[in-house]
Amino acid sequence: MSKSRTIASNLGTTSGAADGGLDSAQVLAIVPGGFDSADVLTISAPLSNRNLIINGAMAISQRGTSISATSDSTYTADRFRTRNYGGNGTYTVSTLQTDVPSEGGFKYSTKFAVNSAATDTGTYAYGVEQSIEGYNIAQLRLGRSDAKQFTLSFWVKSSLSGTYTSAVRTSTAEYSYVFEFSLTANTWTKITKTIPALTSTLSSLDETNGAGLLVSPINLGAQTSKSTATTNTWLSGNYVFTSNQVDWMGTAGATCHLTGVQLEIGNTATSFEHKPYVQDMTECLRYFNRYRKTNSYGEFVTLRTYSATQGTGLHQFPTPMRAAPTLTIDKTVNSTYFAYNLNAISITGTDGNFTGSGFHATSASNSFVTGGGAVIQSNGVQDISFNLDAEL
Amino acid sequence: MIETFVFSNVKYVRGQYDSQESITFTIDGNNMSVANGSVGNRHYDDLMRQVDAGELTIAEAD
Repeated sequence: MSKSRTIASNLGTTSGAADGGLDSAQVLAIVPGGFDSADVLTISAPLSNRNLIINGAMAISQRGTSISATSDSTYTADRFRTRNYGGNGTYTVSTLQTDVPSEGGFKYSTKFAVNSAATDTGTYAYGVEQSIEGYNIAQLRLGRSDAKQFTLSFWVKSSLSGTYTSAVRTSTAEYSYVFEFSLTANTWTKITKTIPALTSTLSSLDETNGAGLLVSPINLGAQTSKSTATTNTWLSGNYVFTSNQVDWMGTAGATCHLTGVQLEIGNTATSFEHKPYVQDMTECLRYFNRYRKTNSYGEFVTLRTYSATQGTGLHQFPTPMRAAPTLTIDKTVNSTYFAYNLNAISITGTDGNFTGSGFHATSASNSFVTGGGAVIQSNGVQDISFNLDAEL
Repeated sequence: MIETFVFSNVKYVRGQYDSQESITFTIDGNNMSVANGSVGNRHYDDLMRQVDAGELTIAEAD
């Protein structure tokens, strides 16, 4: 009798220990001789950190919960962005929605709604995408003889029934894999698809801190130039859709919910890997950090003031960022919002591991003391965010 | 793939020791800045692409 059959048959007659686990005697009863190294080594896929998608459960949304996506590449729930391949349709995106599948243990989904229906359908297209950093897809061995197959899974619900498409593209869209799936209106559906190993030689692939793999779980319109009739195989070229794709963006009032996005090595869609909140958050902070203060005279960065109008300081990031970030401040830099009558704040050099960066501030009214110190802080009670963006 | 942005008000920022320490710019009405030389940053990469293509000029710092 094989060991697996022995385990199965013995499990039917062995009760667990009082604390819910098994003691050593019970293990030996189930598996005569116990587990040896060969048994352990039969585990062929990682048990943790197997999901290469970040924030697949849509639980992190630093940019807010209602986002208007009127142009291409608008980030929504962290790490996910809308794609608008040149069309005139626009989305309203609502994050942290509690409309979720009845199974899988999800708390949130992200809702996409047509804000302004596209009138240029067919010419332009739309979708939802996450770019996976090159470091994180290197294990897929794309473009090599030992490349790995991988499985994409996600939960989706659309107000429009019909045929939808998903796509996976290499970093420069040198190769694409497109597949179709069907949805029934207003019904949560789990989509799973195993994508074969990409063994064709690639002329370019980022396996460092650039975009390694572009994953589009669901598309919401089709564009002629990126459509293909060839599905379920890797294609040379930049393809995202088929002509069967539902014209979701062309339909006023259409909605779509998405959650539970997972991409993992192997040919099995395992149950969704729920991570501790802090792990999800930390992974997101590598790409975007909303550094927000709402308290009175909230301090952002301590400065060394080298003249009456100029100062520099250092800000440490909570986790190493992917690259040197762009700084966007959501309020005008002036005396209404900032102390010291500041009129300019900019980000300066970052260290080699992107763990922190310099800041430069200018006072419009000689409010600094030469050779002294100051702080970039709000002027009284304000709600100010410094958005640090190192997205792909 | 380098993303394409529509930049306006593109200008260098003078630091204590460097007249081109950072670059400020506006996208969709949002005022942004990035350190000069931030290769790998999607905004910086597209700024440099447009500069190299002769489509964009970065104004010197005040």
